[in-house]
Amino acid sequence: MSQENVEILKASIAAWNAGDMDSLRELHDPDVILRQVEGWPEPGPYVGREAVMRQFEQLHETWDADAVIPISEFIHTGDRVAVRMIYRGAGRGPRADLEMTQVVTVRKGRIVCREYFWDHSEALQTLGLSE
Amino acid sequence: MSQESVEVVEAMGDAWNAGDMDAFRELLAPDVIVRVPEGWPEPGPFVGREEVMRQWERNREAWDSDTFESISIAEAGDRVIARLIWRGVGRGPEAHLEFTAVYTVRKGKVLYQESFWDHAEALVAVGLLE
Repeated sequence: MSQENVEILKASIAAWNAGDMDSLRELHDPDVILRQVEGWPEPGPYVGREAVMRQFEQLHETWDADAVIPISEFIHTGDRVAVRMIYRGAGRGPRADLEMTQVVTVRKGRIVCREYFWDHSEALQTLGLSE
Repeated sequence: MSQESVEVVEAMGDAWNAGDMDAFRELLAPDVIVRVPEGWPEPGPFVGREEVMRQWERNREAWDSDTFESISIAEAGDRVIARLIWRGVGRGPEAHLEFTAVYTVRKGKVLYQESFWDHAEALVAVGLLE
């Protein structure tokens, strides 16, 4: 099951990078929760698929092009998967390169929670792991 | 950290059973989210400490007295899995609800709580049971 959860996270990253918001929406549970990284301008939390998708679409629209680039292995335990990533946005003002770790919780093939952390070790601790 | 998280959850139970809702509130993160078990009359989710407290206080008002009893408690990462019995007495039939609550605890406060009727489903969710 955990490896399936890894595939869900990979699919969501692929959908994001392809700009395929319909596929991205389908990977999220109707009751999904999004918690942004600490200090994010719109902190949330966002509850429900439509609220989360609106937030994603706003973020997409901020840039001419943006991408999520995984920079670590995908780590899974139980129903959660973590990956270190760079979020890159380009095309309006200075290019943004934000390095953070996302942790997703997956149930029955859909993402039910997304959380982001600046600190990778803090993210791993939530999974009961250390670097 | 995990033992501290267990202690936070145990302190919540103690505060609830003592009727000390101020102490209970202090154990919730300001942006806590609570999901109640499937089929609960007010399905939620409840977002934010004040909304959560309003919901819990409404639940309490349905009974002359109510208590939580912990059957078992375990931890996994930042999550605490508590199998609980909630007893309410004083108006109509006595309520006796057994369920499992999964608490996510960060920095000494509960950030997220979800509840399951089925204990095994909760254990699978947190990876303690395949």
